[in-house]
Amino acid sequence: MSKSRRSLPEINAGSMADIAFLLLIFFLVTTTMDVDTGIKRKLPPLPDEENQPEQVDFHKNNILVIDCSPNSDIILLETGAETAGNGKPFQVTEIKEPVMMFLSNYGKNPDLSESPDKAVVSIRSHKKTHYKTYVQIQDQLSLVYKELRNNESLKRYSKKYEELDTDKKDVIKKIYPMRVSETIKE
Amino acid sequence: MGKFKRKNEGESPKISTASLPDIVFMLLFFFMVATVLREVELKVTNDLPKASEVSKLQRKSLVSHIYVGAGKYGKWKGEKNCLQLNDAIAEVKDIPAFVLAERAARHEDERKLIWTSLKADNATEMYFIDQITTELRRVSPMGHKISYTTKKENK
Repeated sequence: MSKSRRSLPEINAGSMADIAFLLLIFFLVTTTMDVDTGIKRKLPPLPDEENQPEQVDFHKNNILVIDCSPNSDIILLETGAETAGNGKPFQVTEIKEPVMMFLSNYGKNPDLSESPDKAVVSIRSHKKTHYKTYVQIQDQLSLVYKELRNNESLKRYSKKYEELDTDKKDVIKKIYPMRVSETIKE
Repeated sequence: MGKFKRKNEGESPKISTASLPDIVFMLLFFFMVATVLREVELKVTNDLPKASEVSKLQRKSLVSHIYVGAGKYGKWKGEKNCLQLNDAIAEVKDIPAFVLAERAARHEDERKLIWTSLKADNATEMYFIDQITTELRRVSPMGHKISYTTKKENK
């Protein structure tokens, strides 16, 4: 009788923090804030009767062939003007400079491109080339184009390319369009 | 002079820990909300390549994933080039149906904004990637938006 009259004993809340910490650590460990990051590209539609790719008469020197051998990081760079299989070997991570030279040639060297808007980069991978190599090439190409576009935009608008509005971006894109063709060889 | 005389010198006041649970709970709720538990069980190896020139894919609800890698379980174990759509190993010819289903699941206005995230293993062979991209191109007469998903590499 006398017990029920007494007020309830207070629950000790001191361990509350410990419980919360335990849960916190669990969620800290399991959290993956995986935001997908990737190299963005737009794949062209497959050609059919109605939908033919634009036929442009490319001068051979306007094509840069990136030739990947299977299972190796070494790739060959050659322009179409040279005989096939005659390219110079490069490490994947080193192709930035030659690609840049090829794009910003403006007809100085007859073997390289006439102007960046006519230039085409052709990635020719072997059937068994690893995807890793391909992604690295795409990455390097992005880097080259980013730098070229940035320089042009700084020259014209004294702003970085990413900070431009869409109209101006389109102007720059027209000067440096990214034209990449991909083929798989046997 | 004696204006700012400390009351009990030498004895530092005890900090109240009563609000500690509140702070911890706040953090807890943040992480609970931010946590995304993996929705699909990966049945292929998925060691993503690294790249530096990457951009984020916004709007998770508008991304459809294609996983590519070597099979991990069952009869696909050790097979080099496998393709996983949703929860199951699939074949290349299943891709158009998958893309169309993904499209149908979204609102009409948002269909143009769908990105395909290709999560392919480092060691995938290029002919397989080519087969996949060919299928993607087949179902997209206006061009197909693709993101070669990579890990971010800091230069």
